[in-house]
Amino acid sequence: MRAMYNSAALLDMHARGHDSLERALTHCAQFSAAELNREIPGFDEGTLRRRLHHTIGAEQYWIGVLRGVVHDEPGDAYPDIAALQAYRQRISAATEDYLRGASEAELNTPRTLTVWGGAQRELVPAHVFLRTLTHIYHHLGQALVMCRVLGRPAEGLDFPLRVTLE
Amino acid sequence: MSQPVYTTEVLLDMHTRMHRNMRVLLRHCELLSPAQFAQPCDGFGIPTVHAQLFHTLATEWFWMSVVRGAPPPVDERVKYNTPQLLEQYRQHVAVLTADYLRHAGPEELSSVRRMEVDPGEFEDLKPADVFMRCLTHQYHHQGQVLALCRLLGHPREDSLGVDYPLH
Repeated sequence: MRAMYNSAALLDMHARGHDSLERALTHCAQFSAAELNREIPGFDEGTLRRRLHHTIGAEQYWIGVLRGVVHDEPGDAYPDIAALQAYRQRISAATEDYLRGASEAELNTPRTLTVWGGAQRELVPAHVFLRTLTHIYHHLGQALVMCRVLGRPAEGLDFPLRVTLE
Repeated sequence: MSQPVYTTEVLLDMHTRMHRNMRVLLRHCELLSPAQFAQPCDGFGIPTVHAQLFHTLATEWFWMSVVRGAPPPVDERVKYNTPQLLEQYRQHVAVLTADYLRHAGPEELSSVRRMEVDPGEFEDLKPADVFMRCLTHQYHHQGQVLALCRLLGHPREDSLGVDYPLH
């Protein structure tokens, strides 16, 4: 049987994913500007600040694709954690707005979308959303390595199991 | 907002896709020499590719044991010490999870119940959330494994299919 995603479940996942991301940003607020912008070997987005920006920016990009807009905001516009937290809140609200207004048919029906470079791809919106969720955790894993390298490891940023998010 | 309802089909679909990524990641790790596969790198809480991959798969097994009320997995990291052996381990874990999901209806998946997470330690959890913890945990460690691979001289190619599958 074909999987049929529903808005309520995706909204719940979205809230939990952003709960983890916000806690990571709060943890990173203790780093100095020099630490946030230090190049760390082993990462293609080589600084903690750029990695966090990329994580949020990818969600903005994909939800934009679902809405028919290709976003590409430069990371320089977000020079510190406070700016990244405001960016996260804005993008999270945009995703939530999309999910709240999406019918089951919208979420589960493949449609042709315009992606980077004007290319066209036939995609299922629910899968696109899940790409953004898993992408958050992919990069949170890497950001936490950077935190450890910078001398302040973090813990407890896994997908929240608390029944009700605060 | 209404209470989220998770269906077997949705969680099975996600599970299939996450394991497709893990299979690709294990194939990528075959590029590492045995020494590189076991080489500790500074800065990583779990310092080797081998330990990261084993931990990721064993954690899925652990949580599925919690949900099923079954004994936790034994530590077999010494036995499963190559990407090829870990692929066998992955297949076993994937079958365990898929078997659980296949037999769990929406009410089982979406209802909170008391589970024993460690001997004598109980928490009120929802099986669907536990599954989502396994899924996101895999991507958390996938990111770290790919960083380790880069440090070891084998960065991912853009074409490597480790992003969540859209098809």
